[in-house]
Amino acid sequence: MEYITVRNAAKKWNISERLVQKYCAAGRIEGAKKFGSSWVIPAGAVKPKDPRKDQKHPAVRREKRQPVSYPGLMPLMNTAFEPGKCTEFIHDMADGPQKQIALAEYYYFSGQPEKAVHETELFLTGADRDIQLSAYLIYAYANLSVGKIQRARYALTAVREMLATSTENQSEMRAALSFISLAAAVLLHLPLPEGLPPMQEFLPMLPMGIRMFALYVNAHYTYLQKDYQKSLGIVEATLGMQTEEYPIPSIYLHLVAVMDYMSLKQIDKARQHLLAAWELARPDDLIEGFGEHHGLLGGMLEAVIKPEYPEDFKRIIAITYRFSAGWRRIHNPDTGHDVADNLTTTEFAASMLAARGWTNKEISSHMNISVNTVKYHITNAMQKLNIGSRQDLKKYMLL
Amino acid sequence: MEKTKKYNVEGALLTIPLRYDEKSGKYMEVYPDFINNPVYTPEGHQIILTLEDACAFGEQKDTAEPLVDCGSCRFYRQAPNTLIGVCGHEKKQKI
Repeated sequence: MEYITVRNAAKKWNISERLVQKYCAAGRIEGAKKFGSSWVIPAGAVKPKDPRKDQKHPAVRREKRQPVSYPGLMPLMNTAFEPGKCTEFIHDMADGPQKQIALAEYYYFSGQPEKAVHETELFLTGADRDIQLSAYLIYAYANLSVGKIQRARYALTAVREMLATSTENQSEMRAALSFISLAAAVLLHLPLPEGLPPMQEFLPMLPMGIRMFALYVNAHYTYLQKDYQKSLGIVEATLGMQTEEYPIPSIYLHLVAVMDYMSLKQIDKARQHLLAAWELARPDDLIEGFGEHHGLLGGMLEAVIKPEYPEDFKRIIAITYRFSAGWRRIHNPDTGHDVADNLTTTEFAASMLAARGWTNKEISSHMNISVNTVKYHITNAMQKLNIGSRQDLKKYMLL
Repeated sequence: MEKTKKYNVEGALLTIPLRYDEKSGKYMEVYPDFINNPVYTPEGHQIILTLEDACAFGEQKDTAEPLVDCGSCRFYRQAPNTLIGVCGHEKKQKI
């Protein structure tokens, strides 16, 4: 058999000598033999094919997943209105169910749950699925605040059943349904519902404001897993990517950042996020989220809002009492985690920090109260909970 | 007349005022400031609340739990059914 050198083969095939050596070493040239430190190649050998060109199915771009238009899905949450212009925006909407849902959202997010319940009741059995889903979510949470637990449970169960029975044919609506199911479960600290698809499957199909709120829910869920840095990453990325300010999701995203930073004991950063949330919320009185998250904000409302806005603080605390009483009536029996329900908000805030290992001195400095007042609140909490050790506070807190 | 509860903690006789809490429907003990107005047992050990911040002499009672307060210190002896106890560290003993 006649052989040629690597150099000749390279010339013949118009490739580098190095590549020819590589083909030989990989056994891709039939009959090639090692000769000293190089190779000899049969004169009749055929140039190996480029495996990349040999692919029968060239790489295809994945189908682009476009956001689906859900005009009735939480329209206020999904709007980048200017802070202070919330009611004006709703007023300018065309009359119809979408406007009524936006109004119900406004009532809910501004701490008027009775009105929110009233506005949504009519739409629980409506034909428009996005309107109906919005109605269920608002109705469930608003009923927690007014103490109608059976009604809240009814709405939460309805959403779960809709998710469980939805089919692939309803894939567009499935993204909305998945979002509502996720929000309903995570914010009550309940296990994720069965049949919930991975978030990356439905997130891109949600419109921007809803997608941001879904990411808030995801950050909240990650916070509950105690992965505070990851949760912060979700918040910062979501806030950083918005091209317009969506006040409702932004308020909630800032609040979860406060929770994360307080858990990491980075108080100045927590304060910055609380003030950012407050700046967005105050012009439209969207204070519900502050009351809902009170226990997780680690005394930050007492430290920042109470001294400067005492009247708003009182209203927020009233929301906390109403909402948390209902929240515990679903959360505690459903999870078996007995979150304390007979503490004042100050006792709860001080005890949360104590359970996280803060000293009395640190709590006093953070909450702007004396060390003796801190001890007074914590001893009250411990007596109410019938515990003799500060370590045992953990069992009754939101940690 | 003010409702109180009496304790004998290692020989120290204490009268703790009670306050009725409507929210929980329970009488709560209202503890005096044992730091600024210290009270000692006849042996010279200081009466202290379980939730006082841990001091420089403190040592963990349980290696699994961090030392954050007197309740988590091995020198602390808590009296039953109250949040009061005694610091048993000799360096804090009044001679």
